[in-house]
Amino acid sequence: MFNLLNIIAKNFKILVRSKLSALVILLAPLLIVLLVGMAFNSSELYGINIGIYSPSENELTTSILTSFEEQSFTIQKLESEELCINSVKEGKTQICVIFPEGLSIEGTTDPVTFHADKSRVNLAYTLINDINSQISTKASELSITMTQALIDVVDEAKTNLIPKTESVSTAISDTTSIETKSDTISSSIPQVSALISSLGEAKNITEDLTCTNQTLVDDLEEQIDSVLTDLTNLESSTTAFTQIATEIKSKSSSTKTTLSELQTSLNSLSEILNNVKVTEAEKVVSPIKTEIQSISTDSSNLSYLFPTLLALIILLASIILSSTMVLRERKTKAFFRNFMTPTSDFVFLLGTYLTCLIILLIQLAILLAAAIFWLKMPILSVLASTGLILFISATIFIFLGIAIGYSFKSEETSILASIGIAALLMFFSNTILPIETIAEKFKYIALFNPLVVSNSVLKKMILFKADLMSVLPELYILLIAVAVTFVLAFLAREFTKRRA
Amino acid sequence: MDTELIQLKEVTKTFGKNCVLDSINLSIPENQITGIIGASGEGKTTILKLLIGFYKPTSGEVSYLRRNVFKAMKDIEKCFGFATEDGSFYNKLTVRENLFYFARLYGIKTAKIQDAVEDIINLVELQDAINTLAEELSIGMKKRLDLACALVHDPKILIMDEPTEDLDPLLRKQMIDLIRKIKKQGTTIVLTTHLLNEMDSVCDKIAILFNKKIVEDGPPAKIKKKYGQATLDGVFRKIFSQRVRERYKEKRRGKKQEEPEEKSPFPSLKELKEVLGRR
Repeated sequence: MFNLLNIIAKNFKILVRSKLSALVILLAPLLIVLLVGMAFNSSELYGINIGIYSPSENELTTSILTSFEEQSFTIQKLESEELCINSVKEGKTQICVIFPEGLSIEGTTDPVTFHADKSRVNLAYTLINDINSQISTKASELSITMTQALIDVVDEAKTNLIPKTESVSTAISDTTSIETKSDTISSSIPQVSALISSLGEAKNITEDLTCTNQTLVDDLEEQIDSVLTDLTNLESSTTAFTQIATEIKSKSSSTKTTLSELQTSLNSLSEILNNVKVTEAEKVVSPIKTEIQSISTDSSNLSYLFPTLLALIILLASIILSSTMVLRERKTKAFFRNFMTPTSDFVFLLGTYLTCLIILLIQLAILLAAAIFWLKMPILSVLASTGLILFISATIFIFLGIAIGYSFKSEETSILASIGIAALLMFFSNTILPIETIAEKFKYIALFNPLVVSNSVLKKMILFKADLMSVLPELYILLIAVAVTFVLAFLAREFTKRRA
Repeated sequence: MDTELIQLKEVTKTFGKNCVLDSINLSIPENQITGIIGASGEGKTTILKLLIGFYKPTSGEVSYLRRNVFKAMKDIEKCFGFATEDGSFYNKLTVRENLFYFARLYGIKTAKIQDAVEDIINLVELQDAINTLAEELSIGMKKRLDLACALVHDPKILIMDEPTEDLDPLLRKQMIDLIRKIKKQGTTIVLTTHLLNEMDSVCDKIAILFNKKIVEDGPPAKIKKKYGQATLDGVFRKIFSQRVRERYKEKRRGKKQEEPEEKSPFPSLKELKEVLGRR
């Protein structure tokens, strides 16, 4: 322990006295944070040129292009499909969008085609998603307008039908009343006949009264005759009236039946219409509403980039720092005297490791402090677990760097090897190309790449606030990597220490 | 009879295809100064590094107190001090920091480090430069600092690689005086040099390395007497000329076997120039 502190203190003294090295080591992470922070702290895509070819221009295509321009994309209208594709090949535009012939509000069966430079896969897919979402939004807007019109019609029908139902009810009621009255008329007609019959009998009686008051009787008789005539006429009319009334009754009854049926139908229809829950066109277009939202609450590119940035800084700083430190130690004339002392190789190895780790921890502390206080990133809640992963990742890459440092004789080859191995780890990760683009066999190997694992764990922790238990499998992979790289570093020292 | 601390038996060392030492035998007696002398590039430093187990011999054995050095590494680490030709210390540390650092690595207890460092600084007379960065020291001071680093743990055996190299005559004398002082403390010293006459008065025993082999081994007076020379420089010159002649003869014999045709027994001017040019 005493010797370990002795070695670490010596390393720091030498480092601090090489002023340029100290400056680079302490200021480099700040500089990276500053530059990356300024460059990526937004969710915009900058300087994107979109090539457009549209055989026919109409309100819809103009509207889509306007939405592109609103996204700060620069539109370049091109004369043909070929020119549009070539503009991507030549790098004049990042993506070419070809609208089909006859794209209109009424719709078309042909798709909108994207041509993107697949060598810039990350950008291409981002752009396709971005532009696709713009077009989808426009399509949704159209659908909503059309469906709204349809629903308006249905609403109107509904509005009109309900008062009509009431009218039909009134009509039925009226018809019932006519029927009743017709029955009354019909029932009155036999009474008129009975009256006529009574009047006839009265006439016969008056004939008997002739002897008493002939004149009066005559007048009465005349009067009765007149009444009788009227009544006879009336009787003949009532016969016709009865007929009519019968017909009315019959028809009224039929109408009533029809109206009742109609009322039943209307009631049923009204009930069905009332049962329709959809009152908004948007619900008809998208019965299940979807909304593309970020899986993280943060929205700037830097937020997404931060875990990767951390993993990259650990990778590069650890490998290059440790390999350089080992090689510088080997190149120093004092290395020979260190060999002569009874201090064990393990202590020297641990001394180098701890020196690098302390420097890295200082760098990471600066980075995390900048992230928390300057970029306002909500990582305080996961600081402990993130710190543990950073420590384990740094350990892996420091031991790897130590192994490289002991394996190469010159500083140039050591740095080249460090950069080469770091580049290899970066290629087989999500940093340059998405891991999904790697062939299946390599992809499987890449999944055990410590950079991929640490990046993935840091993302889960920083962006999705995952706890340690949920990343246990990855943690085991990292711990195995620590053991492997430690053995590599130790063997490299053992095999090469006598070469100096 | 002096105890033989270290022995090299039939030791051969090659680096790749380059043979540096060829079946050498050498013994280092206790409490004496043994000087290994030879021209530059003859393999003197290689012998020293074989003694401490830094190099493994290609064949043969190096032993310390009759134990193979690789089996006695713990003892060697504790008992040996090595002063290198070009200074084995950290340039960015001060004299004191270097001495403290190596004292700790040698396992000196904290309470004793201060005294050990002070003693050694007094011995090598670096009191005035104690807080000076090593890179700012003069060549002579650097040599003394390196010697101090090698002696800080009070080793039984001190190995010195070219201790007087790059020093002016005055500093050389100071260094020789220092070596004598260290010997008086009971330390066995093994040193290498190509400045022969200076070693004449210092070494109790010398080994002359020539053409990958130790060609003479013994007290300087005895060797000088054997070759009838007043100085070691003279001895070395005589050995050198003898060996050149022998080498030439061997070459001639080799050529004769290859070429059956009879040739003049005397070397041509061109051949002589070639041999001398190689020197």
